[in-house]
Amino acid sequence: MIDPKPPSHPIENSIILVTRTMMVICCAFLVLMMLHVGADILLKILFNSPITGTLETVSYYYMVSLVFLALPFVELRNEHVSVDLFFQKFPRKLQIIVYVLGTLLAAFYYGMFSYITLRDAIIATNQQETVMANFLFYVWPSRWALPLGSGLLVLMLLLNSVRAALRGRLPDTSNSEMEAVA
Amino acid sequence: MSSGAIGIIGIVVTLLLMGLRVPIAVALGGVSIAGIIWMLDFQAGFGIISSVPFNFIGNWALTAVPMFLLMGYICTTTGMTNGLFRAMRIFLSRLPGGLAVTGVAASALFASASGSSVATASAMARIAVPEMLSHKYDKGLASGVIAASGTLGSLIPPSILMVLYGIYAEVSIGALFVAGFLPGLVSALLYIGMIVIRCHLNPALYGGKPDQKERFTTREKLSALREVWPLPILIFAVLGGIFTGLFSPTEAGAVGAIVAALIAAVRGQLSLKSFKDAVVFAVIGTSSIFAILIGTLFFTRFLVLSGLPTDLADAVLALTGGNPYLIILGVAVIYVVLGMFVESIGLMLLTLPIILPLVNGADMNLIWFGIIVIKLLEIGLVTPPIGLNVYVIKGALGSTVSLQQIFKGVTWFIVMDVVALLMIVYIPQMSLFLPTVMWD
Repeated sequence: MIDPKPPSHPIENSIILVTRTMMVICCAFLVLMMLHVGADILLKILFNSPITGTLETVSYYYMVSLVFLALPFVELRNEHVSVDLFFQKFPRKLQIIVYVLGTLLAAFYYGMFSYITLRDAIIATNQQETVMANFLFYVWPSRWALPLGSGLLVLMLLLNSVRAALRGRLPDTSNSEMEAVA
Repeated sequence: MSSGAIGIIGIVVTLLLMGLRVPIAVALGGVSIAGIIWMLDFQAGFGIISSVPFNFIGNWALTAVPMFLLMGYICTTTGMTNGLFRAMRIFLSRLPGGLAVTGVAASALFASASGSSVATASAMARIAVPEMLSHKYDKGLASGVIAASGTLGSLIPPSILMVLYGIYAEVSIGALFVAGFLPGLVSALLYIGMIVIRCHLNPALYGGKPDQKERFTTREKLSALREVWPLPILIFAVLGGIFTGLFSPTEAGAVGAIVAALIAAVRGQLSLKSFKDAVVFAVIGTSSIFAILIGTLFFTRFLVLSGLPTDLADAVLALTGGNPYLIILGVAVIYVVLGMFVESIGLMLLTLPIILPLVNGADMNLIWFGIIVIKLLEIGLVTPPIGLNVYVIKGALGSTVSLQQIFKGVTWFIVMDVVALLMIVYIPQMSLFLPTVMWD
């Protein structure tokens, strides 16, 4: 069954736009991570002078941001790992009910997650949080990746559940990632 | 209600939610938070959200995961892996069942570089199986060999499963990489030996005698070499650097990604699009793996609070008298059952919080046990009635081959896997010899 091009709402479009923008940032962090670590090793081997703060920058900035800011995009692509085996055997109506309830549960979980990490981010910002290193390293900015990523994920999940409930559309459950690679 | 009972209810509800297609990360994390709130109070439940994810993800060792994923995706999106099968068969065509043997070798290399058994099975099914069928290979053998051979990759380093196991069990990732090498090689040789002997005894399996097979000129062989060199070079660059101490296993991921991009550039296969695709896949893979990992961390805290893992470990240890073989047998049963519907990374993360206390209690070597766990996880991907890899192959091939034929073909490989597993279990030196030599 092929749906005609689905009607889209401005709210829907803006959520997707922000999601994609954050994904672009994540991709940039991934490439930076590769280059930063590579340059550090090269300088260490050639001149015995590694780049100061590589470990802290890579772990706290790149890694934390790329994991959390990509969460909404993973939902957009329907790539969150789940077990399809029994679900596929359900009748269509039951599938939609189970999917909407499951997605709302996920939204509740990540909603709680984003509320608590938002509180932490505000505290960390006020305290100008740092980590132990042999130089001054501020970590508070990356605290914001958690509420931002999980907050937008909540919107994405709500959007998907509304789509399923109103339009009876389930996200494509086949694994698009592997198809693309193959 | 006692904490232990809440722990058991938690496990049951988690499995139930997973069965209802709730994302694994949410099932694990949500149940854990609710359980902790039930046992203690709101403050404790919310407290772990504050303390755990940020500090855990901001971890240097974990950066190896996105980098190895990137390396693997660069290999696949630039087409470095596509020519592998066609090129390698030129060198192995004289053997009885030469194409199937090529399938084993190419899949092992592909899976080692890409880090995913399932992705390997999916890709090789399209490349290698049609080739074997057109040479009148037995359908079961042709599809079975590809379903099984993708599983070799997790044992052959670099392996993302090993990185995650190493971090979780707090053992050296470098040592795990070295430890997996011999078991991986032995598994591949067992597959190859079984194919050659079966085909020698029954040439119909591979569509006729070797003298009816195609011959290749020196020129063809030379041009084939051009297709074969990149992956071995990549793997040796990564491992060589680790063993010589030039860089750490964590840094090796970034080196691997850069070397893969350089090789693709030298071969003229690196385009902006292929690189962009690789980056996007790597970010998606990282984010979804870590969402589960966070859920697992919550789940561990929840189970520890319930006291269940220690109670369970005590009960099992009392029951088995601490016999490692019985414990391994129990773990094997769990993995074969759960391997029916969860992919290896998710399954490992899901089960380690319960299994590791047992292993510690029985005083087993954690590196040796890690190799056993990885081998078991991979066997779970091909065992009937529902092996994930088998379904992937079936999906890729459509109606050409029936599920029964694939399962029948794969049975021979499972028998070899069991032989390899018994060797790994009864000869710990097979895993521990190389790490000991390397670090003592």
